[in-house]
Amino acid sequence: MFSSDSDQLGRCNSNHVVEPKFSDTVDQEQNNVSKIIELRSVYKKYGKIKQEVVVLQNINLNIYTGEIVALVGPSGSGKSTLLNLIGGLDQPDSGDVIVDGRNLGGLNDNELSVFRNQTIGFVFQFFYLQPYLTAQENVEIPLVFRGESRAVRSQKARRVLEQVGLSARISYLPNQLSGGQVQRVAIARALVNSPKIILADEPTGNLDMNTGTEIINLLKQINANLHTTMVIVTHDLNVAKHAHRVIEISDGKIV
Amino acid sequence: MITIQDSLRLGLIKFKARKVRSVLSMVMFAFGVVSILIFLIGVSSIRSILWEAYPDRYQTYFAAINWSMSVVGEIKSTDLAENIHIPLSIPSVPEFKSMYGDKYKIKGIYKKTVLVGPTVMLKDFEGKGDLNNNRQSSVENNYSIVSIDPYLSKESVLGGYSFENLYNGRVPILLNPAYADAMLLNNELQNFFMQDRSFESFDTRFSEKLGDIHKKLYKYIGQEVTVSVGLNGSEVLSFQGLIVGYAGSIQPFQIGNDLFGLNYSTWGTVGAIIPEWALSVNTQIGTLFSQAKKQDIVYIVEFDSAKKRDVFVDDMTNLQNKNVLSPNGRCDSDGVRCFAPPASNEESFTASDNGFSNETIDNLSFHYYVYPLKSVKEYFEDILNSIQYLVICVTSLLLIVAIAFVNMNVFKILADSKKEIGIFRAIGAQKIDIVKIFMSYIFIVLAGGFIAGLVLAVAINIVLSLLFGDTIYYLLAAGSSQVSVSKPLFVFVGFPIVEVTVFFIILMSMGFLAGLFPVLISSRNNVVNALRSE
Repeated sequence: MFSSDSDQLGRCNSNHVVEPKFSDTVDQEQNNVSKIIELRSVYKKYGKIKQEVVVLQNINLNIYTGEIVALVGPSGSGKSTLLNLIGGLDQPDSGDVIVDGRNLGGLNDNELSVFRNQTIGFVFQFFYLQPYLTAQENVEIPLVFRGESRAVRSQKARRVLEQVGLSARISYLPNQLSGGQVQRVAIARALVNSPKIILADEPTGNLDMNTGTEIINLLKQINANLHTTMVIVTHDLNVAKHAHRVIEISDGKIV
Repeated sequence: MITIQDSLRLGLIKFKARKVRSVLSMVMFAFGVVSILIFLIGVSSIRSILWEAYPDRYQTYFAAINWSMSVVGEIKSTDLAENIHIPLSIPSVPEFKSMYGDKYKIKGIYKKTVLVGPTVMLKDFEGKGDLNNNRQSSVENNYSIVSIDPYLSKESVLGGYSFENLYNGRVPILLNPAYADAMLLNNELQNFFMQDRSFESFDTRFSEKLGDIHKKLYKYIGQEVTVSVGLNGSEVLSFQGLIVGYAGSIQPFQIGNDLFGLNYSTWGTVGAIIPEWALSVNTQIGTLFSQAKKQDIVYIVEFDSAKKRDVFVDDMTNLQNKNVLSPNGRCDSDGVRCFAPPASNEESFTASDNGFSNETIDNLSFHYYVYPLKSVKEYFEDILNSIQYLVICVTSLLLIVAIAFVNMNVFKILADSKKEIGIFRAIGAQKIDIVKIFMSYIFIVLAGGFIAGLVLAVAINIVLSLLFGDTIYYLLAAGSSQVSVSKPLFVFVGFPIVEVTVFFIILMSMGFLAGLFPVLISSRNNVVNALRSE
């Protein structure tokens, strides 16, 4: 459905909302994919009065179910902040962030935690696995916070680890795995709750080129199989080229 | 939301991740705990052995002393032959009521049988031999217990009673102090009355010697013996006995100026010269009842005048003013119920209150005195309580320091775990989940420290009791002069479950409260800032 051509930059429509570029071969009727992420006039700043820094200004963005969107831009442009807002880790100073039909501004802290647990899967640049837990135990953590029983957790964790190609490494500690394998475990952890959205902040930033390509291919495969929407923050245009759409952010604005 | 089991599991992982710091906290806490627990457990052991485990003993002792004297009745003559006809049997309930119903209120009746009869003297354990030719010698490891009373009948020993298999078919036997030891005590008493009227020094020396006697005798407890009772000259009654205790209590008793009348070295025997006989009946039956767990119809009676009175006083001056002296210096404030030797054979004292038998023997009268062990108990309770409060104050300071250390440790671990908390929050942990995980960690440190402290305290108590238990026992037994126990003391027997449980709850609550505040703060940290932290 979504094009993976080299020209990935979405076009601004008349309402200054970034829209995807659909493949020419797609039937017009298939354009009715649903919006899963919607940002309306989002502002975000940090710091106190007279020292505040505007990180995001007037962001309007729609992301559709099943899309892989790459957020690119220089350091400090607001990419990670945008990711945090989508993931409910932070709140905008103004504007609306609507994810999977829910306005995140209307949720309290516990509701946001539940939302993240059930709807979002995070993949971090530095993996952030628990060093004293095995691969399987690390993957089970989101299920632990969901209150799942031990048997169910084990079953689900093993399944996703198999999906990412690590069924032979479930009992390994993170320090016994390679960088790529650790990131696969992190991706498995993000997938274990069957989220609708994966948010990845520089997922290949700490990996060599070949391993990074493996990880991106894995994400693409997951997207193809599960139709999981993915928003990937990256510096690397080699990574961005794999996305269906690339959104460039500079000085807090979408360019 | 995370379950309790999973929060404990993650808390344990946190413990392993910060092993050194966590173990150090646990050890600090354990030291704070052990200092209080050593004392709590030790005191509990002392209490449970001294009186809490055997409350009936003292009542029995108390009652038996009195009725036995009454049953003995008037001692009309010093004729040996006549004495043996005085029944030593315990009256039936109706008989008792008819005889003593107006004097004593029956509190309880035990209905098992035990040998009640003339007490017999064991061979001198120090191997000095018996005191007259009538005694049978003993075979090594089988002590012959003989009576010097050649007229003692079988019926008087066995009549009306049966041996019950109280101790696997063995009859409970009490040991008497050896002659030489009894003489030492007698010498002290003689010195006190005849020369040195200083009660304090007498009391100390008497108690020390009594303690020495206790020390010698108690090690025989638990030994099996063959008892041979000479009856009517040639007939011998043999039975298996088990040494269950010894006559550790001594009632100084005087007829005239003859304290104990030990010239005949017939301590503890029946059929001897009157004073000793009376003394031995008094003492031995009383303690026999108290040692045997199941007694024949023993009447537990209350003394109308004594049941609420603490008859322990230290004021010898008061006693002297009333011309009433007690070898042990114990007397009620009225100076009435005191044991007192008459100034001469002609003089007599009469008891003005009921509860004490006042017998006249050939123009001599005597009192006998029973020390309610309630006073002994209170005496030691006061000491234990005073020490307890002091120890608790000191050790509480140690505990506060220990908890503060744990609290500091929690602060440090939370600071180090900022990013980890951020990640947990990012992947769906609620604030309460974070609180549960870290409070579980605190619980593991505190509970582990408490258990370690408890185990250490028990071990130290056992070691101390093995090393010093005898000494403590002797001091207490000698000091009280009334305690008669039938087993070695202070091999850790008392565990204050209630106190330890209460202590555990209080400690855990304090520890939790100390750790809760920093955990709550950490759980509310901004997630984005936490993810950015080092």
